Amino acid sequence: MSRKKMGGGGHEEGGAHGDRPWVYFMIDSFFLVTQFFVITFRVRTGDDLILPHRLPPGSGGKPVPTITDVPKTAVAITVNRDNAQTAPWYKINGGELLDTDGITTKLSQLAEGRNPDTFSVRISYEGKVIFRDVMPIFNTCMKLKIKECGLQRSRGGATN
Amino acid sequence: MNKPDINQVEVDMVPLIDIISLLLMFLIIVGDSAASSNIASLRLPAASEAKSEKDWPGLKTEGRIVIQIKPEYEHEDDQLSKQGKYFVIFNSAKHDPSADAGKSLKDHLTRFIEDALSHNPPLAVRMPDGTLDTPVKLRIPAMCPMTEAEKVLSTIASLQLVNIQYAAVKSERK
Repeated sequence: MSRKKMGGGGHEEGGAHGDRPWVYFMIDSFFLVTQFFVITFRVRTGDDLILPHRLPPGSGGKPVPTITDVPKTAVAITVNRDNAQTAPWYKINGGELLDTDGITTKLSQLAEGRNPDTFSVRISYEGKVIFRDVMPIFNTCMKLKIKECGLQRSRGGATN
Repeated sequence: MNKPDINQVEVDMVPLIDIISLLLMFLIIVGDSAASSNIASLRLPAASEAKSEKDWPGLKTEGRIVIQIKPEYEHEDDQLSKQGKYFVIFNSAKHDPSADAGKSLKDHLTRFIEDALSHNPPLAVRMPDGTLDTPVKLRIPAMCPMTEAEKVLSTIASLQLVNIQYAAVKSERK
């Protein structure tokens, strides 16, 4: 009675590891362990840090009439930069020129000791302003718990 | 009478196990890659107040819309020098916010919201003030011009999506 092996044909009887069948299992185990580590330690790019922000009423271009007893202090922040290589500059209510650290300090001074719900911050931007220039203002508003902080559409901006 | 010589066939299981393992690994890796390819590799802006999702109490992520603004060129220098465009990626679909005033993105979002509202149970809720409670995660690269980001924000706001979650990286500055 002869035995025919299928799936391992084309080589001599016993094969290269015929007398060492444990080699097959060793290779399999090594392979499985390697794949386990490859799959487990894949870099996940979905775990971003989050800065929550609520768009203020009327951001959709449809003014929402509101009646409130709390008078709001309007804070108009202008952001601008001359070109991609220079640093951005900021102005609060048309005041002095400030850099990124300055705008954070100035806003903090403005809001110190006051109810953050009484502030309404509007950010307008010109020229070559990039998102990175505006983020410090959102960040400071979050730190100071100023909820009403929105963008003012630039001139000729989107009208969706 | 001699019995016919019966050849017993042995099936070698080892190669079969190898092939099945390879196939499984391939499917797992490809499936994972397909899901990961939705997350564009972007240089996000820094924000010292930004925290991971689990550190924000009450942060809603269920039914969240993820919108990414992806530059045309991967390298910032190329993007600046060649004045590359910016595309909006939502649900694996690429939109040009400049084309037709971002109508395709608005239409896509509108359909998504309608589906979410009509789902049973609803995946989105319209609040009394007309806004939607659906959170929107915005992955905007640091170097994205505000004029481009503004188009996307304007589209989102026009659909009454007001719960925004900006994706950022941690900064040491306070």
